[in-house]
Amino acid sequence: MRTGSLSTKLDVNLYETGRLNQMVQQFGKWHQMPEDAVFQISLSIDELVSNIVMHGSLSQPQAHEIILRLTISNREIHAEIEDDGRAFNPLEAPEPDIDAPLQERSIGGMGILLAKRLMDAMHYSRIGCRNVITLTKRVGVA
Amino acid sequence: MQLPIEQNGSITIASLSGQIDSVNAGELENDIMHLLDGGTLRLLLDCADLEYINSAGLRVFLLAAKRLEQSSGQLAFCTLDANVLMVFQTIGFDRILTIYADKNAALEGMNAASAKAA
Repeated sequence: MRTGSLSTKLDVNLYETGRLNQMVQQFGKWHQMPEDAVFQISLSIDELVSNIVMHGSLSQPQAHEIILRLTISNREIHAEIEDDGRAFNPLEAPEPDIDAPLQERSIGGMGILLAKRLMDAMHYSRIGCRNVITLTKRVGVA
Repeated sequence: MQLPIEQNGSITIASLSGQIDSVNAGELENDIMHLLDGGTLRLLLDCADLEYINSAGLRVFLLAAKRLEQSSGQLAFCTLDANVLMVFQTIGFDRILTIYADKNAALEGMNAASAKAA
């Protein structure tokens, strides 16, 4: 992979998530990230940002901005997602039981679970009045 | 979204394409629920041109699958791209949904399953 980084500020609305996806996918391709890693990192970022947009608008104080920083080093992709909404730790959100039979399957919580499972590491911290989620994806030799 | 629809006997085949995300999953939900409201009981979602899906789209699949199971209908998926299949497997959808390699296998499998149920 080529090394590189990207930093951008998003408005808090769902349309931004669609544009963000396009950008992350282009960025990954440009930096010769393997195709499955592009998909997994862009899906994980999409899920976490969509979650901030949907839940951040329901609770006070509302998030006004989301900042994404994406860094590609030799074998690792690192993403940092920061927002200024109410404290929310996605790692503590209840997980759906994915072994449950169809009728008992919960329709919520799938996005955060996907991000957790697709990334090698996911951390949350509350820094001042901001939520900061960091994601790490290790990539084999391409 | 206006899903392209094709009919094969009593099986309705809807083709999904591009990206299903938090922005357009609502349209997908409307389109699929419109089909079910209209009496579709056997639905095949052809994912040959589906490149991306997030949990907003997965939620729609789960709603449709629950509803069709309750009404003794059939829902199946075919021709999943490697990444989309990986998402299905990661979230355990491969255990609760019916997935076929391609459209022909799906039509055959759905007809065999309904013959067996009858």
